[in-house]
Amino acid sequence: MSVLSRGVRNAFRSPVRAIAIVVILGLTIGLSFVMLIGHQSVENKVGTTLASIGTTVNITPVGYGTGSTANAHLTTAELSQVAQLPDVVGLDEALPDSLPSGGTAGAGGTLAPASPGAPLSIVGTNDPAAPSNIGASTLAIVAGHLIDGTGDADDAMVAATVAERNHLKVGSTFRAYGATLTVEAIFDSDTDNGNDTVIVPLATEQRLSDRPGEVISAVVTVDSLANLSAATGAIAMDLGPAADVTSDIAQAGQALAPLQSVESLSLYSLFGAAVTAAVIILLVMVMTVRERKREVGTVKAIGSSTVGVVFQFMTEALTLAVAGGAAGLIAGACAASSITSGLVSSSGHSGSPGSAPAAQNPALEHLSQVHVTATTPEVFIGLAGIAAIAAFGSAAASYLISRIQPAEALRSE
Amino acid sequence: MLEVKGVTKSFGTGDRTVTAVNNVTMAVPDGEFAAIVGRSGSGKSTLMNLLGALERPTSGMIFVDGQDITRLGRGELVQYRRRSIGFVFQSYNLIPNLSSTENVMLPMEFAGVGKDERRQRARSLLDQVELTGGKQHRRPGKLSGGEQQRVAIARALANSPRLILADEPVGNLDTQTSGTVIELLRSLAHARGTTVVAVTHDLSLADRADRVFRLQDGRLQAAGGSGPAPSAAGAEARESGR
Repeated sequence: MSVLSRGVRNAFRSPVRAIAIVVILGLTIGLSFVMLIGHQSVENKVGTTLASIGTTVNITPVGYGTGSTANAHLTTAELSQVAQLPDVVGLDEALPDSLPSGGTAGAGGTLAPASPGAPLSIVGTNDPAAPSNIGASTLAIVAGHLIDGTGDADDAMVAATVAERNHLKVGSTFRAYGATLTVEAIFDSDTDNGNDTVIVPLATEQRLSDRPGEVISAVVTVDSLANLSAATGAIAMDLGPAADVTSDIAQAGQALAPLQSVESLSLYSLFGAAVTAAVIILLVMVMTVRERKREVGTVKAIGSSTVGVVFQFMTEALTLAVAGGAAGLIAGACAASSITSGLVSSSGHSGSPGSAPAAQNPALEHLSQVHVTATTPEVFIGLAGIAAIAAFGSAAASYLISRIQPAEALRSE
Repeated sequence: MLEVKGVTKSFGTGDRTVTAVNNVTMAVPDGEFAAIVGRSGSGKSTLMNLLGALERPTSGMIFVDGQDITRLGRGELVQYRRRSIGFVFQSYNLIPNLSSTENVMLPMEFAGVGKDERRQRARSLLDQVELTGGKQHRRPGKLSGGEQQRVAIARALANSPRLILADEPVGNLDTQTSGTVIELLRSLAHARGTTVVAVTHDLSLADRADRVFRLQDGRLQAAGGSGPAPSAAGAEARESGR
């Protein structure tokens, strides 16, 4: 019989007591595990949400879209200074307008919108591939090739539905602002507005609409999420009060605050439950070792070393902890999802998709839907934590007893 | 040869100091069965603990085969208890959830004896103390007091020690069983050449001992036995024929 097997047998020397300890440990370890899983899951959710928000800053003239300052605009010159700011790695400028419809639809004539009565939009941009310019999240070229947004050629990209209604193909021409534009590409997007749009180079739109140097909106790309807040501030300072400078990070911070409070709560609870488990093991082992003080004296009298005694009690504690841990892990894995969901719901996320303030950014929707799973690293972290707690608790308790002289231990009752 | 020279053990209890063993000098030749007798509180068990290196004396020296065990370090003391000493306790002190065989195997495990060898030797030792058959697989709780003490004796013999220390080995046994256990210890000393020192207040055990030391208030009062005087320094010990 080895120390290991003796330790395992000693752990269950009193079955009722052992079961009681395993149940108590199972509850605390299970709670620790739930909190560990919940914390990791919420942390992942916050991380992926922040990552999906992107590192962009939106710039519009003050009051744009409210109708109060209809003629407000930015200029290419102002924005060129923004492009020089630290951490700024991209600048997408756009000048939207509405094309007057009517006349002869079809190749060579003016364009009719895809849907009768709906406005047909035209956007001049230096980044024709960016779907944000047409209010969409996707933009796919289905025929032709991407136009050069930095040039001023009379080239156009036409939405597939517009092209179909007006019988346009790549190479066809149409009239706008009194000029003839050539269809270089046909694209498809994921929104109705996007599919009722014509995209032209920024300089072309500025020239054709007789608004030289004018820009209505811009999207600045920052090099990292960490620099987003600083870059946003720098841009706002550079452009002054004439521009609204917003990034999704502020909105995300507000939307994610309840989740982050759950993250903190679960972390504190994890530490609390882990400390409770450690205290339980420590007290159990203190009682166990004190009860068996005479036995400690006996085994030392017949040749065991202090390390041997400590190792045996550690084995016993580890056996109980592993049994409690296994019960706790199973219970925790079963309960983690519902407990975490409950915490998230009670933290302020109602769970209804699109609830304010998440509605403004698709990435901030469904924040209450936290995917809770116990991954292998979490299980290993849990097991390692249990083992560490048991080892510490038993080693501390048994060392205090086993270091006394055997005669003193033998004299105890 | 076991030699004790001027050993004193004092304990501090609050403001007072109690001297449990006071300047004891004695000697026991190899292969003898010696008894230390005295009333309760006379210091017998403390002296036994000192001989077994279960605690250190306040002063004095204890030689076992010429080695002063009072000067051993912690690790050496563990080795000494493991290799040179076998203990038999009044209340047996067997591990309750181990079988008789496993209890006897335990000191051998500490000494690093291989599993098969220690199992074989444990069974042989249990056979020698006449605990045979199914009783070798029983736990202590399923054995009588006499049987448990036999297991304890077999355990004490496990690593073939030079010295067996028995603390009231028959204190919890009836007269008939006591006689059997005393005879077993005596035969061990004589047949195997193992020195056996038993602490007792049982006169029947003292009567069968080769040498008797009497303790009173921690001091050695007299020695009795068929052999020579315990030591030249044992002025307080009295040698008497038997």
